[in-house]
Amino acid sequence: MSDVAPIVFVVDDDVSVRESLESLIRCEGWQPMTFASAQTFLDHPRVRIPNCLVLDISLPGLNGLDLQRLVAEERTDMPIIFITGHGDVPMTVQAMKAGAVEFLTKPFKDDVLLAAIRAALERSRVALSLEAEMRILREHYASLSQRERQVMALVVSGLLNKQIGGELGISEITVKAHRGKVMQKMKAGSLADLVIMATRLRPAPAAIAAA
Amino acid sequence: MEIHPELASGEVKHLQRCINDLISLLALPAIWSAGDPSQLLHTLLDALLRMLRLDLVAVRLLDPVVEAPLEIVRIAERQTQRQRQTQSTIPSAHEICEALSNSFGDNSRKWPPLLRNLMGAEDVSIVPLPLGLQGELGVIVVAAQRTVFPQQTESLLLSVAANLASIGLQDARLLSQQKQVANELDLRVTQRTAELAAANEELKKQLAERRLVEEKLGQEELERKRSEVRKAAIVDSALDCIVTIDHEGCITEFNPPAEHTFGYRRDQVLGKHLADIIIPPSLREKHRQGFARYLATGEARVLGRRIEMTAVRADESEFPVELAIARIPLEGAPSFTGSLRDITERKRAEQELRRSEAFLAESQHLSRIGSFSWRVATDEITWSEQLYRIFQIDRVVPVTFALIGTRIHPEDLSLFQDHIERSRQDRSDVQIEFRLQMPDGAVKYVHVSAHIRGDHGNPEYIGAVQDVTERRSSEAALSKARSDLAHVAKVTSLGVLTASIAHEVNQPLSGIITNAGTCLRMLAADPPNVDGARETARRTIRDGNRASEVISRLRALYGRKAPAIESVDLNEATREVLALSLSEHQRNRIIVQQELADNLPLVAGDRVQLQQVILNLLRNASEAMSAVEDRSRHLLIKTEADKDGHVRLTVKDAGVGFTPQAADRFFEAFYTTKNDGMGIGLSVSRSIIESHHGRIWATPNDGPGATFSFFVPCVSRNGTSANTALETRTSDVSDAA
Repeated sequence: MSDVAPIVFVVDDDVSVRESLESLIRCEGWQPMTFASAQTFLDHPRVRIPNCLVLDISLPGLNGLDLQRLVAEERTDMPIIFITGHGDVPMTVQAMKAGAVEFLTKPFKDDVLLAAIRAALERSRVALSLEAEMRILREHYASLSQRERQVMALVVSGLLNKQIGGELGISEITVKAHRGKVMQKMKAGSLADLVIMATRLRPAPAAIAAA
Repeated sequence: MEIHPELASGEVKHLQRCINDLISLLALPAIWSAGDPSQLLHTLLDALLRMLRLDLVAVRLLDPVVEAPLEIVRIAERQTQRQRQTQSTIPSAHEICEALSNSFGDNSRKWPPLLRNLMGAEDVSIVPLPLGLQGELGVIVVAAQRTVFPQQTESLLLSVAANLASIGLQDARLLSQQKQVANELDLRVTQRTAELAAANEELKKQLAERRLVEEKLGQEELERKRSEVRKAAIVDSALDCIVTIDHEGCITEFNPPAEHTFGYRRDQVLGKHLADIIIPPSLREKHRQGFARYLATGEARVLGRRIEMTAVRADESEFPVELAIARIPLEGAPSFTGSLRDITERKRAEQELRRSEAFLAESQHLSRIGSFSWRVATDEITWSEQLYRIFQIDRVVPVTFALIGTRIHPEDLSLFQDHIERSRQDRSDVQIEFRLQMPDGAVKYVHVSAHIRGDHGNPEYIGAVQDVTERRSSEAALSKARSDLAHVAKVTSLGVLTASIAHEVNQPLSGIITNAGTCLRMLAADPPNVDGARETARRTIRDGNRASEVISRLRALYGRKAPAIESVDLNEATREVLALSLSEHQRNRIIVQQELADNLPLVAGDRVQLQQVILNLLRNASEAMSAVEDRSRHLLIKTEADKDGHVRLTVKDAGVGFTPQAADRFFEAFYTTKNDGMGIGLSVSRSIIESHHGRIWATPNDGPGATFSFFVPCVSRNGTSANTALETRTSDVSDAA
């Protein structure tokens, strides 16, 4: 994953800005992908490698804030850096509230932008690896049988094998066997690991069901 | 209760006929109104015969004046035919009535209402209808060969007919009596007229005789009067008083005008000293001295000259006289005759004239208008006092063109001389404005208007010169104010655009900085990326040019440089403005649709000014839509050429629109519908468009929003008149700036 160059998307209707950013980004060793409008950007499929978006606020048709609204929710791995010819305070506030990582007023210093991009890509990388871990965790959890899941839920809630057996109407021996399977399938080294895994899985039960 | 339908319908028809008949009958009097009794009866009898299908109807009308009654009979057609076949005779009305009278008496009232088989063997029903309350008018007799006659309805019709006839006849009788009275009156009037005419004739004769006598008398009288008038005229016409004195100053002659003028009778003054009579007391001593001196030395101050002095009347009132004294050339002691004339009126007129001259001078002074005359043939020039003052030339100096030339502004001198030469040649009226330059360097504007008068031999220009310096300077001030206003509007409109323009500059600037940074990075790499750096540097130059273009466009819009006339492609100008306002439109979410006509003719004008107007219209449209949320903020900008040699530009928005009342006021200065507007944009736009000989206007849309349009003339092929006119204005503005 790390040997693929991260992608920096640029959406700006001004050709000078697009072209200059393109060569700057390439010069830094990232992959630039430039778009003249929000719509052409949306038409491009999302990527699974670290990426970020350098977005001009004033755009024909859908403007930068509209685009942010559309993608911020689903593309948590794509931080947005706003650039603008005339940044005013309300607009900045709005963009930041909606999750923009940076707000730069043109003309900006190239190293300021590069620093912002670098930070954004790092953020993207973290988000992506988090997402990857979660995906693995969900895969492990999905491999559990119904009974094993019941056993896991009761184990992480702090019950003893005996109590679990009483709860589920099975023998302590059987509980112990299920518990071993769970630890093995979830690749948990200790009970503490398992508890952490369960906590991470809990906030998104829908995602679990979907996975 | 059951009614047989057929019966019922027969009954209805019968009733209908009845009613129709009744209406016909009732309509008859309208026909009778002017008719005589016999016509009345004829129509009535015909109507009855027809309506009731009678076989016979007869009438006897008694007339109180004429002895013989009027008798008429009418017989049905079918009866006439039968009578002819059977060769029997038709009974006359007289016979019928006589027969009835014989049987029942003369009073028809007493006749039985229905008679049968009265005449002949036929089965005839006869009904007499007496006319008048007592039957005094006569009788109508109707007869039908029917056993069931008259039926109820027929009786009704008959009695109505009889009543109508009675009334009609009585009316007719009354009318004829009135006529008779009128005739008698006429007769009497005619007789009286004849008598009067005879008496009149007599009077006329007497009058003529008297007039003859009077005329004779009058002629004599007139003759006498005329001679009197003539005498009086002679008396009156001898206006001059003639007074003669002897060597001692005693009056020897005093003519009637003198009597009249001084109020003395001749016999009252003869032999008296002249001085005591007509010379005011204050001058008497002087007179005596002068008289004595003359007698002693022969030195005369008054002889043989016209002199003016004051004289006194009998009533001691003093008055001015004109006097000429001559010595009577006779031997012996000298005597003198004086001719005097009362010049009170003349004096008054002179005074009047002096006053009006003073008024004129004063009003010229106040209005700064001087007047002059110029005899073309001799170049004699006369100036009024005020004109000397305007030119600041001493009054004693005679005016010449050379002198005038010293005061004319050097730049206007040739203009002035051209005008003088032209006037000398074609002698047309003069209207000219030029500048004067005073010795102290002050400049005055004067307006000259003059027209020629006098015969061809000796033409003379009469004219007025007005000092219009103040007016000119206020015009200049106004023009300056106007241009200041335009500037304010421009700055205001640009102020709004500042953000947008900053954006426009920032775009290429941003590119430049980024490129420069990238360039450095590429060169610093190991190995240096020279090709990439070169490419990046090239882009940097391009962006730099772009930025400078934006800035010069901005400067053109913002600066106050004088307008320049050129051929302008309105489409191109529009695109530039759209480019400038692009980001503003984006920010306001305005969808701009362009419909710029192909092959649009060029217009003559100032590109920047026209762009200002376009910018203004776009801004207004954008602001009008700023509050619109329920529909798309659609803006249409359109150019087209019309057939009158104009290019039209239209900006249509979907904004709040306006009321028709507002349309008239939009273009007034300081009228605004916006909370934060100054109301100058459109008024400046209008003055720009009007200076381009165009027109600007606003119309509400059918749907939401408004449409603003203007047109300006295209460049004409043979040098544009619009150009020259605009240039004139332009120079005004730059003068003021």
